[in-house]
Amino acid sequence: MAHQISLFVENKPGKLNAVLTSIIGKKIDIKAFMIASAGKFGVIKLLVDEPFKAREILKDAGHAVALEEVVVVEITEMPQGIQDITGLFASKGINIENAYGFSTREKSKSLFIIETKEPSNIKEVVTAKGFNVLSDAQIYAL
Amino acid sequence: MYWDQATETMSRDQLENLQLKRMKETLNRAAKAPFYQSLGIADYVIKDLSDIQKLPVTTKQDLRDAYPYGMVCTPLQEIIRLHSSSGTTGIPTVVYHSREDIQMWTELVTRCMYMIGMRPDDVFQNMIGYGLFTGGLGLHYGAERLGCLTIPTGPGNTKRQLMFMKEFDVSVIHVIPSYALHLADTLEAAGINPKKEIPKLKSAILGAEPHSEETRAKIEDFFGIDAFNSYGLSEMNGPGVAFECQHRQGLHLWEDAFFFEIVDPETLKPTAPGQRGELIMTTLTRQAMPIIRYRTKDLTIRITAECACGRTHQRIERISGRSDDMMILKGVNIFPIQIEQILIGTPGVGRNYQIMLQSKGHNDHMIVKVEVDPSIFIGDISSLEKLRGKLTRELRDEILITPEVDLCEPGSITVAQGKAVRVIDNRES
Repeated sequence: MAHQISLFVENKPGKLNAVLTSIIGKKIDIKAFMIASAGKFGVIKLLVDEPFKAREILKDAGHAVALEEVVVVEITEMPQGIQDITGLFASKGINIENAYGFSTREKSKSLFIIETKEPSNIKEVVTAKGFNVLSDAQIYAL
Repeated sequence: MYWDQATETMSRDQLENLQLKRMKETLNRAAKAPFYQSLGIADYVIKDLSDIQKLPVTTKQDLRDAYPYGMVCTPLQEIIRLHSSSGTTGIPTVVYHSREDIQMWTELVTRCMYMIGMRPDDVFQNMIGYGLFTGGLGLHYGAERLGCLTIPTGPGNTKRQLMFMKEFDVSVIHVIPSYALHLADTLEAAGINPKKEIPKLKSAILGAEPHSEETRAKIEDFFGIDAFNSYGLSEMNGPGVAFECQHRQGLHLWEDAFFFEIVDPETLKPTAPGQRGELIMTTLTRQAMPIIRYRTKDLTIRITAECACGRTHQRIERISGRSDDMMILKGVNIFPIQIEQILIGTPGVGRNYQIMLQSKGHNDHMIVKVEVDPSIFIGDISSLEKLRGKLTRELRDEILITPEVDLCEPGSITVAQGKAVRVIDNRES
């Protein structure tokens, strides 16, 4: 499974820019990101090529940062593929905490990033349906 | 014109003689309280009023240290009531009253109410908190003594307040200034003109919160009334310590009941005439719990000039600030330390914090900024929202008003070296 970085930030202009600048400057490649806002603060979610290194950089800069496992699923047939995934989660009663997606340079290959708390064998559940679940190394190679 | 002409217009000589006699009696009584016993109060000799400057001062911390009964000098069965400051984490400040003390307090309040023109045919609505807080009960007793129809609404429930004011032809209200402004807003929004619909309303007693002349003028204009400034503190009974007369050029401080000094807060030496300083007070009639040279931390100026009303009791100027970090919001006294204790006791937040006070409409609004502790962050928003909710509830339980809690990034609250500026007051006065 792949790792995603979460970062606590105040909801103010310039915050996202400062965070991105600090990791891009250290040669970290950002594959995707999302912002979840809750009034005066929010959490930035980042999918990067070197999540462990990025976490240390952000930690050293004084940020409240966490690393968590996420399901990164490869989808080739759009939009049918995404519906297959959401249908799978629905039929198993699995709740999605956060989700976002992006397209790769490769034609007809999109990635869907899902954050969920249960079940612990989520990777098996997804791969059993014939989906490809990416690891950190595979994201690194994108 | 006077409720108690003999006392209110007593010559300065007579008044000072009475003060000297009562000061000596006070020291004799106080010497029986364990706290003053430990200070050796019995050894001090008072020959004239200025001798009081030789005595030690009493602070709020002393009252806490003497908790629960260290300041009491009468047998407990002679005490009929206590009032207490808020504070669930710290030790509260408790003031005890004998029957005589309650009577004297009531007498002083009645004197104030009569002084502003209240008479038995007035209908008095008391919109200030009852209970441990002294504001509600203090004026309630005075209004009843005077013979007014007294409506003990207490604070809040604006619709009901307005309904009572209209239905019962209320002529005098006792209200916190910020709440008076809120009432005005509510009336205005509902298109109600109080000059027409509450025609009997003639005065407001503004207490429990420092306020400016501008605030007074706004309240007076909107309601078409006269507003009078009331000063008191629970250590000195509560309301009824100093009050404006109809000339409203400062507040008469009842010198037969209190001896007051204005001192430099650093040196505790008397300030030069006309100079601002901290108000220090000694009770002169208190039986159950006399307090000697109490540091109020309130800043004011003594007015020695004679007042056109004929009362000989000297006046103090409107309180202009504090010599400590106490904040007053919606009539509630709050110290930053109360907030600090809650923050320190809550896992997930750092030790740095900042309190911002703002005006939201006419209401005071408090924002407490705290830093998120990086070690508790697990990446989700819901645990942050839970933390924010928990802090809000615990702060509300402690300071009795609901602050807005802002979660800030670690290290984002700058704390200056030395004395940290914890409170930023941006309220319109």
